[in-house]
Amino acid sequence: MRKVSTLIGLTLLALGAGARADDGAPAAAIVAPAPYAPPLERPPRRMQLDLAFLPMGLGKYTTPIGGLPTTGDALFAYGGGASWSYRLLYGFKVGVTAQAIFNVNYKVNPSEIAAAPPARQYDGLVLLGYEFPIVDGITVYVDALPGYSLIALPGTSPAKGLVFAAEVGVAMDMTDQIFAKLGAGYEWGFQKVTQSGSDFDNKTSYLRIALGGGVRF
Amino acid sequence: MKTSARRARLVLTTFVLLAASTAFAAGPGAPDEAPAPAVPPPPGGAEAPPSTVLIVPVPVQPNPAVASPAPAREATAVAGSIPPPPEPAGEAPPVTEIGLERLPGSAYPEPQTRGLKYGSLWLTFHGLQWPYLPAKAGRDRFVIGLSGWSWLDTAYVKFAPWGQNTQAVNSDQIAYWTQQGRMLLRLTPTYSFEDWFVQGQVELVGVEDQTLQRSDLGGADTDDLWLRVGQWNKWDFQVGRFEGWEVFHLGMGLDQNTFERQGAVGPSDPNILSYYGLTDNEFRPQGAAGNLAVHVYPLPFLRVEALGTVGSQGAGAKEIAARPVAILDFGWVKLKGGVEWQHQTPQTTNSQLDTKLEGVGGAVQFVLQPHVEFGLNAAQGTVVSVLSSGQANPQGSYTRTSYGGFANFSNGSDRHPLILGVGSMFTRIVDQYDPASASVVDNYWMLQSFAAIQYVVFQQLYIKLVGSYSRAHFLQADTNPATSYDNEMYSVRLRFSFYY
Repeated sequence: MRKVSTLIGLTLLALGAGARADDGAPAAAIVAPAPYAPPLERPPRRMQLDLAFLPMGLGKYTTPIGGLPTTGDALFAYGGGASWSYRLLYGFKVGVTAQAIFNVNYKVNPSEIAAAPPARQYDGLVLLGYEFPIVDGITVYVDALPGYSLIALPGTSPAKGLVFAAEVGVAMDMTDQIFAKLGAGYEWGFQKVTQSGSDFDNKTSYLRIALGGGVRF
Repeated sequence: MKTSARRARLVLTTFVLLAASTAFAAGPGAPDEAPAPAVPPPPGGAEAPPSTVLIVPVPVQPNPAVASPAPAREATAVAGSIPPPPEPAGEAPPVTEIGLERLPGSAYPEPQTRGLKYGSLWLTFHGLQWPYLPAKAGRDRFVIGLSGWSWLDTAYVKFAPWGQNTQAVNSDQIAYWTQQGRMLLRLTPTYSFEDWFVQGQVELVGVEDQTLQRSDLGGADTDDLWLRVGQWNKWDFQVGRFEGWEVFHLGMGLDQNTFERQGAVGPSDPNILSYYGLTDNEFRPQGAAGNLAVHVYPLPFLRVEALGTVGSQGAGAKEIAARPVAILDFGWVKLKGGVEWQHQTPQTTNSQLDTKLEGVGGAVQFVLQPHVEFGLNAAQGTVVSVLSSGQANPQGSYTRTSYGGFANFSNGSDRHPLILGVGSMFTRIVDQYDPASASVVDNYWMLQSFAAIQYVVFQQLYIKLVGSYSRAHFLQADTNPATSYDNEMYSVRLRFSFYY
């Protein structure tokens, strides 16, 4: 009985307090006017240099085995990249990117003879991108990265060919000049290797994540 | 003393009548929709003003004819005794506050910075007493604090094993979506006077799957359920169901009940492979078991927890455990360390089943306001298991080692708080099972890593996207040569969470 009465009392307390607020206590009811939001401006600095760690997953790897291109799941690879870009007009920017990717290999090598050791992939890319400022200090970016790639194969001549990557991400200003970014995209390679005078596919494709940051000048 | 009880009873009754009349008065003429409340403060913002506070000061009027149910100190001190005769009102009436209160920002103490605002460290209390609801201006106070949190995860996972164990490789080729959630309402009745307090807490839980458990049929119904008594910022004694202090901090990912926390351990893989972070006795006990803990705050920057666990955690196993932890918190740098010991034996007295778990671990965390925080963790533990026959259990006896770190980066904005987080952890488990070769035992390792991005809408609604990768390697000593295989897991998870 005592518990019930206490419960009822507390419930009514809540109701009473609410009613009092309705009557006149404005403190909890005032909705602050929306603060003035200046129009979003693009960062005044046009030049940008950034570094990124590049985990590469869910990959496919194709090599010629017994004269036939053989595709299998690739091991998780990892790498790093450095970019320089210049904002030309509005959010449009152009630049160059160099990146190196390690641990390029099959998960399970399809070759019955011998499993090859991991290879390294080096990419030189042109950066064509656009930045969309969303709110003050936060920018969504879209990058297209066409370029040329080389896969250094242990014990044989490298595979070479075109490569194309696309990436979408968010850049976050930490100071006027320094920013951090997180992006995701995909990279398709069209590398080929020459064996006995013939060209064979020796290519990779990966889901890529970019974790990094940089400086604007 | 007796007078105070009667006074409090009178006041409550008076106030109930007053409140009821006010509520009814507001009834027909009042607007149908309550005015939009101000945006409540996020938990932890000590500077944030309390909002939607329904606290009601109750001046005590002497009326000896009315009994008071109020749990004032004087009233509870004489529970069960004969009501005293009325006394004339001569002394100054004490004032007691009774109320129902959404926990204000000040209930989440932050004597030193807890971490980047809205970040994972900031949502950790580093051993502090919370909810912090001290008496105000020397007056006794009884408050029922209301708070809680909820989260909803929508996630996708893909396992991709390969290697020599064809059974595991074939059966663990799995990809699927899930949505899971948990919503809890936290009630914290607190009675405070001077710097003393008596506090209880229950967390009423609603769950969306999380693969149920807590012996199923609806899953968990409570998280916390405890009572605590002590002096604010000096000491307390706590008993019930609650978590021990966190030592390992995992960052913006690897949340409980998520794929990235589980790692690349599929249904066919040895399920003992999971990270160890002084965690045998950290989380709330299952079954009919609970904790008793003493917390001591000898210096503003030093906190100590001596936690013990006792009870029976399912399957007829009784358990006792101890887990002392110390935290040295200077704000910008935090050092945490502890040891733990647990002993499980069966309830049946004719069985020799016996399991002992021991461990040691530590962490160091740095907070460089307002943009960067990071930390490192390391722990090692052993499990020694004996079968019911009294023989050693080599597969159940193993050493666990985990180490890793995290880093969070914030833009430091109050209007548009955005946090990027990364983290990684490596775990190795080596048992004593060597049936095929004396020099080869089961040896497993796992790497868990993630990247996360979080935005907080209106400083209230946390939206977090977490992508993770995990790889596990299993070397199984059943055969000579040993069999090895790998599993790999990719997951992506979108979490909405709301702290209130």
